[in-house]
Amino acid sequence: MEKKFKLYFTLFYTTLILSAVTIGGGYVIVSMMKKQFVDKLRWIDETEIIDIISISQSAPGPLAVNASVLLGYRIGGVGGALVTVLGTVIPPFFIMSIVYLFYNFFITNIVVKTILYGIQIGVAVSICDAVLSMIRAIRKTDKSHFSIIVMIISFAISIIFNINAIFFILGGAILGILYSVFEKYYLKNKG
Amino acid sequence: MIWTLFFTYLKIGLCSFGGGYAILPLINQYVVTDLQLLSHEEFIDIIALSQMTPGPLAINAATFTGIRAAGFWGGVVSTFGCILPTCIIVLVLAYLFYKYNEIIYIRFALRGIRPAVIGLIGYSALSIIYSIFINNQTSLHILKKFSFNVGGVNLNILSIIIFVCAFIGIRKYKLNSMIVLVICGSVTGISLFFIDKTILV
Repeated sequence: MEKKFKLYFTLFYTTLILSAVTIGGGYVIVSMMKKQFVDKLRWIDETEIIDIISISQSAPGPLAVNASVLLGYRIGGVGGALVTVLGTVIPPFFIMSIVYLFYNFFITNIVVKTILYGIQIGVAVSICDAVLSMIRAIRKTDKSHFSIIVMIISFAISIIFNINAIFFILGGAILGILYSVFEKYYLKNKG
Repeated sequence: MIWTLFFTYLKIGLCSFGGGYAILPLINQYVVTDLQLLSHEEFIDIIALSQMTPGPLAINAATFTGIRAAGFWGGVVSTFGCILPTCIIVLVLAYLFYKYNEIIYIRFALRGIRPAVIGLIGYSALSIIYSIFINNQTSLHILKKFSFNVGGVNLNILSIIIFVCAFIGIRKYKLNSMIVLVICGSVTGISLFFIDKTILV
């Protein structure tokens, strides 16, 4: 009982802090989650974070909320999911309430803007760091060139076209199945 | 009013596939045009504020418009309505995923999905880097002072230096990323005072 409470508490305050300091899109908060839950706490591994992102992208709603629900569920079941979603939603809720009160100050203040700009640079660094270590994790589990090729294709398509992430999930799934089946039969015939 | 807010955001939460900016047209239609809780200028301000503050745009917009329309509890029900459908859907998907992920075809599919997702995140990283290295908006002193025109684009030297230092700090010295965020914010904040001391007054 006490152990479970401790787990929930750690889940809650980790997501709370993450959500309070992370400015930027959904992928940014996911890379920060990776830092905390994979590198520091070691509760899940890197490929699991990627799976969490894939499932998050397959459902409606903000990526940050979906990913935290999944992370909580994976670590502490439905109770864990409840705790992490609260941790994720409370900070933006309160910050936005304060912003509402000081609306004019925030929209014009140069010092606030400059500091937030600096934080964005830090955010860019941590998302790059996350991408690099995710690539390394993928290379460890899948030694074929297939994963690198899919990564490059997906990266190139997202630069050129503006299409919904769900199509990337579907496309990746189809390519993965086709290639794995091909590899299985090809290798069988060869060997 | 409370119920209208709740159902409006429930609808928005349910339809917002793709997250982030996918939600903008929905908020524009239901909250700005139909309910008229926000003017168009305020809507744009909220997008800007949303980029400046932590948290998903959907939650920021829900909180802001909810409080404006019906006070504190308006904010609470809007935010709750916005995340309720996604939470349920995600939990169902998670249950199915962890139950059936031993099936061989799901493992095959994941082999392709994982690198595809990394490609997507890579793009998101690239676009963030692009927006901080190259600024055409000159509303910030710090950007005016440290920007140099290289081949038609304004390259920001200060942000490139901070980026490189922070990158080395995270990759080589394994610094905690939260600390890196705080340091980066302080560096730009402090350099602002050096550029323009009148800001103190």
